[in-house]
Amino acid sequence: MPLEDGLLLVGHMAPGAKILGADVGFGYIQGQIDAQLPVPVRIGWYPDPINAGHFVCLTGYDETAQTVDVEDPQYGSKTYPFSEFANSYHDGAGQWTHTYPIT
Amino acid sequence: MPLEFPQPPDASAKAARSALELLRAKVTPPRSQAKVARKAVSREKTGAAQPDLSTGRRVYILDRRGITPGAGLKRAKAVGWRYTAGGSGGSSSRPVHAIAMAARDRGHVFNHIDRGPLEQETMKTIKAIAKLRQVRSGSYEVCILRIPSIRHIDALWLKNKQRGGNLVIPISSSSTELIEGHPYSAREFLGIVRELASRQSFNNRPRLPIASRTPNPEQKY
Repeated sequence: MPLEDGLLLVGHMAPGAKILGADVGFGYIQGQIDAQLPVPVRIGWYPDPINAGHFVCLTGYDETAQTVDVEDPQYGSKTYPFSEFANSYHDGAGQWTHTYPIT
Repeated sequence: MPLEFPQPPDASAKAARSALELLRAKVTPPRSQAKVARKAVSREKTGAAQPDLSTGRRVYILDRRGITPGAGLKRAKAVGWRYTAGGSGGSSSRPVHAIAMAARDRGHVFNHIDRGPLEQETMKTIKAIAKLRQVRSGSYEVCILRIPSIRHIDALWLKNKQRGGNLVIPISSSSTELIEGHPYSAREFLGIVRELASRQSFNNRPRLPIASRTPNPEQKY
């Protein structure tokens, strides 16, 4: 089930909102979390990241260390360097593909 | 010794120690720094952690392309090392974390800190299988095998250092077909994984429009 269906259902995504790519930058994550909004993210598993996906949520950051805190429904809490999170999630098994702007 | 933990490369262990400093800073941030530089929607505070670099485990990833019949586990890709941090000594009640290091062309890179249940489950599984007769009578190198794209499978991969086959012991997965803690032959394990993969379908591609990508000067990757 696409994540936006669930987010729309529970009223945490605005109708007509557009899903973002994986290039939102550290500043976007900071802004959302400072606004007390966690950042849902889709991870695509290699070798087929477009079709084989998994969802996690970014819930914190460290500006100095350039790290993000991740809550993963399957694997629990993790902390990643931002660049590793984007390209080498889960020991390099997947990559960040989409970002869901929630309200 | 029935279960052997290969010595990680010095560079990996050194990089893991550096990552641990980050973990320490994260676990017990200076108050002033916590206010200005660290924000979170919610954050769990945990106790200080110590690394146990003596039991580093090599990590392999297997994806859907690698489970073709006859290939065995040869197509599993060595991606790095995983170290236990915290709670590893005796009756310690400290939380158990893992530090994951990636092996890249340019060296060993800190990939992530894992505060989830996997490390605790891994240690429990290692203790349990060390008591099995077939393990006690053999000699195995302990590795981690991860297949996240197929039912989020994590397993111990015991590479047989003598004559005989490898063993795979599932640690966790979202499948009821794989029994956690049960020692499978590699062939038996992969047979189940192939069956799981053939039945699994993903239906989570976004359907809504994707905003056009714009260059982001802050982007660092």
